[in-house]
Amino acid sequence: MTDASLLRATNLALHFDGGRTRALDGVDLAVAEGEFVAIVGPSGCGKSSLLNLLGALDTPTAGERYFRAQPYAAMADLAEFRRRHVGFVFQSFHLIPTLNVLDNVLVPSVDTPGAAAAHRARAHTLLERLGLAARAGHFPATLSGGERQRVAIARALINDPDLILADEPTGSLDSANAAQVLDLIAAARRERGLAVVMVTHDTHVSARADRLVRLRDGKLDAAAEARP
Amino acid sequence: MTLFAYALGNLRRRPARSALTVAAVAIGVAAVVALTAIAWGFEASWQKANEARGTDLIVTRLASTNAMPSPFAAEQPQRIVAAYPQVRAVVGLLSEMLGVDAGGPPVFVFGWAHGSFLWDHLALKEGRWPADDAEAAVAIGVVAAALLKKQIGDTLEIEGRRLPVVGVFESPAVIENGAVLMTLAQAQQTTDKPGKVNVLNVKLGNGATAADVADFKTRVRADLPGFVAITSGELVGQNTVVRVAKAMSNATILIAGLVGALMVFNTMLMSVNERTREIGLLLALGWRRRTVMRLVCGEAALLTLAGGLLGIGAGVALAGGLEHLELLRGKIDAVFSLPFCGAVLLLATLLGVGGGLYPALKAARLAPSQALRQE
Repeated sequence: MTDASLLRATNLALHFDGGRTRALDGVDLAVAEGEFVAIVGPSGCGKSSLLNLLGALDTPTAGERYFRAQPYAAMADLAEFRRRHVGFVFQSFHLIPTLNVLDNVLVPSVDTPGAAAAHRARAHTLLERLGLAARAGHFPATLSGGERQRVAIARALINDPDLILADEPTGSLDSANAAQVLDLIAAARRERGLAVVMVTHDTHVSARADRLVRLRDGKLDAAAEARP
Repeated sequence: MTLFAYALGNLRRRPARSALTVAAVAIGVAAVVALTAIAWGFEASWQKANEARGTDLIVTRLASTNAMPSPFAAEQPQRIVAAYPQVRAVVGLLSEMLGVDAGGPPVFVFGWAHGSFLWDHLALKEGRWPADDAEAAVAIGVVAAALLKKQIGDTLEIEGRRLPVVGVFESPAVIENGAVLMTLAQAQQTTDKPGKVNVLNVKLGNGATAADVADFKTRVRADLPGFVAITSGELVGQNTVVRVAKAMSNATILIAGLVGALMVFNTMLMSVNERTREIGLLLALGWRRRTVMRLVCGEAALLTLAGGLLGIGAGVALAGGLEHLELLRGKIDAVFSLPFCGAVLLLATLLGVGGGLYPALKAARLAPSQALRQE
């Protein structure tokens, strides 16, 4: 653990039912600027719970989380932290059905300072880079699974985050689309120097990570943490 | 992306439910607008009639709360009032709502002192006026002519008397356009109230001041126990029918407001419950909780705004239809005011936002991770 970490979690725990269910227990994790960390492990081992805690979507039962050495607990507005620093990509895309592709990409920018025209221009640029320029006016129901996930990636990048938290982003895609999505995330990482923490079951995905973190029964399997 | 477009899209997502809510709000607003227009119209019609006649003050029985005060013997009070220095003219008026011809609709029958200032504002469209107090004849307003299907030369049967129609007139006051007019003497004979009037219409001299009016009122109270001098507005304001109509209108505002707010509350609560995961997503993507609240309240406001606009249109049409009903035709001139419609729209929107407030709070308080897990 160094102060230069982008993200650091210490002794992180998430318990339910008064401690009878322990989703996470004493997890320590650090993610460096620009690093790609894959979190793997069997179903129910706490991967998504860890991702939710890192993304400030949940509050831990115990432990501390830091972003560039600043404790989450000291942040006045966690929504602002998510908006400014984190891009989320989910397995089931979570696109809003009543909004077209362009508006879906713009959703995180609603509370972001700046002119609406500038946000729109940035969304168009992202859609162009992701090969979706012609689909900007289409609605999610008319898109393929791969296209939907590319829209979700554009949405995750709209506020120029420092970190992408991806929960099995290729889990609902065929291998060709999964490879394309990973290529796009890798390209975004290269271009912007952003860090990626990705939960995955897919060994092809984890093979592309800088580092592998394995969880088992809510605990970090220290022996398995390694660079692939 | 704008919140407005997003809110509109959300309402379009469940078109039937949104349409039903808009319809419920519209019905409430239409009832409020129509009833209020009728209540105000009833009041305004009487006031307009008095103003058109050039009446400055009305002398009548104290605390009379009927549309037309009960008749009294006119001779003595008229003589006393006529002697006051401020008075230019004082004339009696007898009025009653009577059925015309067998089974015909009821109309106002007015008896005015022949040759008095009360007749001056009327425009004779056809025929002539009754020649003198002795002539048993009537003139009818243009609306009454259409309603009763009568023209010059026809006769009307009122209280068993057959009276020829000798003239058709038009008045600035709808209540007079729907009335049958005869001389005071003929009206007293027809209704079997010899020497009686409902009110004394007083015209003050030119340049009469507020002090003159106050002095006149004081004199009436002193000289005529049991009588009062009031303005036409005061007379109409204390009218039981007007007060009941206004009370009903206020009750409708209250009931329609509550029902509308509950409908919006129910709709928005269902909508928020259905969209738990989506709202969780918005929060996860960094939306402020107040932005989520603005979205939900905005949807509620759009529903009530649409319902309010539709309701105002429907209310105007409804009141227009009501005032043309045979029973009400020529008796009420519905009054619509832009400020009132604006106030109704604002109130409806505020109630809608109020109804959407709890669902909005519920949405804003969702925990993003739990909401995202919801199916």
